[in-house]
Amino acid sequence: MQLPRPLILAVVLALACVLTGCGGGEGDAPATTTSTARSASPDTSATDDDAPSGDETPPATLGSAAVARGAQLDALLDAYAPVTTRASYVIAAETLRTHARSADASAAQVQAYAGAVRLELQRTSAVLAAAQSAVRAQATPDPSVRRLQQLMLGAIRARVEAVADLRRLLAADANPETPHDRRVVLRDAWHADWDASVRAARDATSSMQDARDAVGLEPAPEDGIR
Amino acid sequence: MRRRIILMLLTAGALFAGAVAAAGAADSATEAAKPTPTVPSTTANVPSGDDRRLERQLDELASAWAAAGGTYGYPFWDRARQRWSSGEISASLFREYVSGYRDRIHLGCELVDQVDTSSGAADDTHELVSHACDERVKGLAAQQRWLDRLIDQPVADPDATTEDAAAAATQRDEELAELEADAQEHLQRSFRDTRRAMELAQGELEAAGLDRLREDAFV
Repeated sequence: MQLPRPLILAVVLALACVLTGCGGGEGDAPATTTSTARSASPDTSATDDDAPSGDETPPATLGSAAVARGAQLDALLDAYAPVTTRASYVIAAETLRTHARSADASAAQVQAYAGAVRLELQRTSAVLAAAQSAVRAQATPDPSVRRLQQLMLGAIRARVEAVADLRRLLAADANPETPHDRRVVLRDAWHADWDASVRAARDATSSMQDARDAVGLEPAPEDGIR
Repeated sequence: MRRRIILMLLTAGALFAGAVAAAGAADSATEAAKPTPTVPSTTANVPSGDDRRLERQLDELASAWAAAGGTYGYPFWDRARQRWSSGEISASLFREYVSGYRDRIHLGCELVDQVDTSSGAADDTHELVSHACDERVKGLAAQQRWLDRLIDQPVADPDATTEDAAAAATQRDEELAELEADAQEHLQRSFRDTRRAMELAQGELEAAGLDRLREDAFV
């Protein structure tokens, strides 16, 4: 007996669908758990992140989509890099100034530390302006890369705000007439905006690692976006 | 004939349903992998006693990490690393920052370990932070060994042949590359685990309607 042709076709299509996992997300993504998923459980084994587990099959070679995404991610990372570099300069300088103030250091010392912070803020402002243009100028045809770009721009915007807040706080601290409450408000604003930028930078790191993981790329350095 | 066709259709239908279910499972896995939404909850959550305990334990963990070098170690070490990379300071000076941070965090890991946690999320965060701490110590120790080797230039042996000198130089380069890679590996694991610890802790606090930690609490 011969089966009707449409029926054979339907069976073949269904089988093909099962075998290739149609509709299961990105075509060239390896069957791996994303790094965000792994982050939900504290799997802290020494080699947990890089070594594929049991049913994971790393791709033998990277597809052109993976290579293209990797290049776009790297370009964004390079554009953002100066912002990361300056982060610890600002925090270290402000930590010293805050410590000097709370430790009742001499006025001259506090002033010197405040000067160092001002200098860092000046450099950071220049870096943020340049990085904002550089990040924005990157072409991002890949949606996951575009998301990373948006997170980076968000981190930069929040950091621009934080720099302005810290400038205002420095000015207030330098003026003995400034009421205590005003200083508290300014300090809270600086902390809140800096926090927002750190959070956006961390989200960007997670997003980047997920985007790389999804196409089988090695994780990027964890300290590239701060 | 008709019964066979029905049977075939049922088989095809079952196979298709299986494929859709597999795709759905993949989608839901992707959904589960998404980070916890970070927008503030609009529902008025009254934190329970357990939530308050979680908050206290995470605060203690953050304080321990700050004392372990989060405040006075990491930013200065990182700044020194940048300055050394750009040639502003010598390797010897950078090594001082490395050993200072290493000594501080080495003691600080004990503080971190001593924090008492008693809930799933706090335990998980604690485990991540403890692991990050250990890895940071290992990374900094390896970085110091690398800098030691980098700074201590070998004295040229006047009797050595050109080939011997070239072989010794190659061996030194290989040792340096190995030490640097070792340091990077541990440090990257540490950074990764602090990132995950932050995500986990902030997600839990937010879900409980509590204030988030400082975003660089586990830097």
